[in-house]
Amino acid sequence: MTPAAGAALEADVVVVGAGVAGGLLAERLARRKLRVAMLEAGPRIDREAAMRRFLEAPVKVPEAPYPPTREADHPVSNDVDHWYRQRGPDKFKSTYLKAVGGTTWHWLGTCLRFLPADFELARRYGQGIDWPVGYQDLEPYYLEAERALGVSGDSAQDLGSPRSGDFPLPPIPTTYLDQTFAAALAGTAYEVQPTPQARNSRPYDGRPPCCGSASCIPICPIGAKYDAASHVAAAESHGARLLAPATAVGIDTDATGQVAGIRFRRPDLSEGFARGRAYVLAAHAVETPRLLLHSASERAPNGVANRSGAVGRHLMDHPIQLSWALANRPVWPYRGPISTAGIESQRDGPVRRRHASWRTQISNDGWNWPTGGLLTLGRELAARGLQGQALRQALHDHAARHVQLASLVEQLPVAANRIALDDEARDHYGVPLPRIHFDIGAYARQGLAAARAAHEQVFARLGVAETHHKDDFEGAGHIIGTCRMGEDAARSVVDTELRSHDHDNLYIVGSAVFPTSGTANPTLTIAALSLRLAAGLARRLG
Amino acid sequence: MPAESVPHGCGGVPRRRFLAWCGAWCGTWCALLPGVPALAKGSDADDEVQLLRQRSASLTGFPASALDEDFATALWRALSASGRLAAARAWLAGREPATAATEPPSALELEIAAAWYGGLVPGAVASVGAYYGALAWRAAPFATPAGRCAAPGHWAKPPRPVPP
Repeated sequence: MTPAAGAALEADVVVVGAGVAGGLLAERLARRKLRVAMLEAGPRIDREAAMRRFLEAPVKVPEAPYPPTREADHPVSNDVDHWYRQRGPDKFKSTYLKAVGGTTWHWLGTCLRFLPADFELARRYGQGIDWPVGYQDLEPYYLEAERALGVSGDSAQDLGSPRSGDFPLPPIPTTYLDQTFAAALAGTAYEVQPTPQARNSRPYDGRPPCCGSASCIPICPIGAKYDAASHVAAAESHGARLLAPATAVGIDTDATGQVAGIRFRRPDLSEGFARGRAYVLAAHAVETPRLLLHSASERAPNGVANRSGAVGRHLMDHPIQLSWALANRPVWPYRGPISTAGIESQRDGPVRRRHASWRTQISNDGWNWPTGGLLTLGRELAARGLQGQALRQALHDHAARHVQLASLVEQLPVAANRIALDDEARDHYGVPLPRIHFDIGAYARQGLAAARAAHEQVFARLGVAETHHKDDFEGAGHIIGTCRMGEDAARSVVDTELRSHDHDNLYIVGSAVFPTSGTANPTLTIAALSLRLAAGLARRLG
Repeated sequence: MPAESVPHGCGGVPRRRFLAWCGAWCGTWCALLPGVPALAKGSDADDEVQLLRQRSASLTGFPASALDEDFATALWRALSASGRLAAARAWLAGREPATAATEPPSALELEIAAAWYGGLVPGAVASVGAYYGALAWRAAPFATPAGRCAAPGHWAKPPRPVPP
């Protein structure tokens, strides 16, 4: 459906963003016979074409299959100054895609729930702020989200987040590498636990089981790993309309304080207007505040939904301590899903009064992240003087012993960490680029140091010949904050129903609304919040 | 994907259905293998490519017959295009590569080894065939080349030994 320039697109609900938050919401609302229109800035992704781009890319970054274009520009991992206008003091290193299906195209698939304590960081530990909703409020939606995404997991396993039902799929087998870590760490504080993941352990929802292609990031070749394109397609099959590419460039409000419509532009710069009874911004934690701030007008001089001044603020990530080592014996990495187990025991405890907690991902992809892994190892070994059969054998023996740990550290919400609009640089549509002020802070830095020390202990138990630590943090790809949820309209952007404090018919969903980051990979919580919002909107509009 | 690796079906999927899934996918990729224009047989350039394969065999530890001719052609052209033709010819005409015990590899040898093992021709756009043809995958056959389907659950056990 392509409305002619000047004709308004009419719907009950206009959703900006067709990633997991927007796609899932649209699918649920369309099933309930509500008229839904989705505006997505990026294109539809053809999986085979994306695979070809990945294989042909000289640098295999997460964005390799989905390169930015002038019409759908976005950040890239190997050049964090592309797109972002970084004002420091730290670089913001996490990225996102503009595409139908959003960033789930290259996510890992980890589906951990938040812990009950994650919602009460201030009350329990005197840090950060509490969420205005608790774990018990989200638990039914976590369960529904696990079923929607198709999470494989062990229902009997205690991950610290009480469950009211089973995972829809049996667990993905852990790797031999995981099992080696688990045996080495048995009886220590670093128990290894299988990771719940949105990756099919058997056929589910029309998708095949994981075939172990070892390429979850950046792309699953057969769709065994969940991506939100499936929910967008399901929404369309129930009557939702998708406009893609169509970039939202402004939100208009009326004299009553309601949102009157959303202006968008197509790649040829023709303009359109979408009008609905309700509007949901699901454009992730950079584009959502960027759109709100760019929508400043006489009626909303600080931007739409921004009487509090909180839009764009409290930007967070899960800064990562990356460490890698050479085990004393073969552990056979570079096989299977990129991560199937982790260490979850450090996610909570009184230590959070002093420094950040963390979770540790045990990675099956060897040294890919820190060094380029197998494909750069030949050069490295040749540089040591190895040639011929000696080089070939050394590569085999070396690669078989590669291990890697990535600990995702909690970061506190700080108002000065923010997305703003750049004064000079603009995109294809005339919208200012995101300017970022970012400092991970002492709380997270101390957490990174503690994680590094823990990695040393883990490697020592495993038995390693050499150990390496990245001195600077890495980005997790978890963009959090910027439109926080809260009960106090003076300090937050949306209420507990994810409705703007300022505009009765405007909602925001996604990790932008998280008041704090916790340590869990955010996608399952994004999905749970989206389902909760869908239920609320259906009640309100149905 | 070898049929024998999926003897009883995978993850509850009937064997035939699973093979159909993967077969459809693999078939697509087979069609994407690159086609580097061949050099005229017997030409000087062709002789040099054959010599490059022979010298690379000593460098990499793989027999010349296992070193892809298209990749060798692309590598030779890349070396020529980057102004190192004379150095490359000198290397081809030289003695066998040095051993670790005697002298370090030259920058050119490093670059050639890196290209073969990494599947990336310097200065050129990569190709699907080159990626999967990288010698690193063959030197470490326990690893799954990223993006290629293996078999569900195979990762839970150590790999079966592969004869050298």
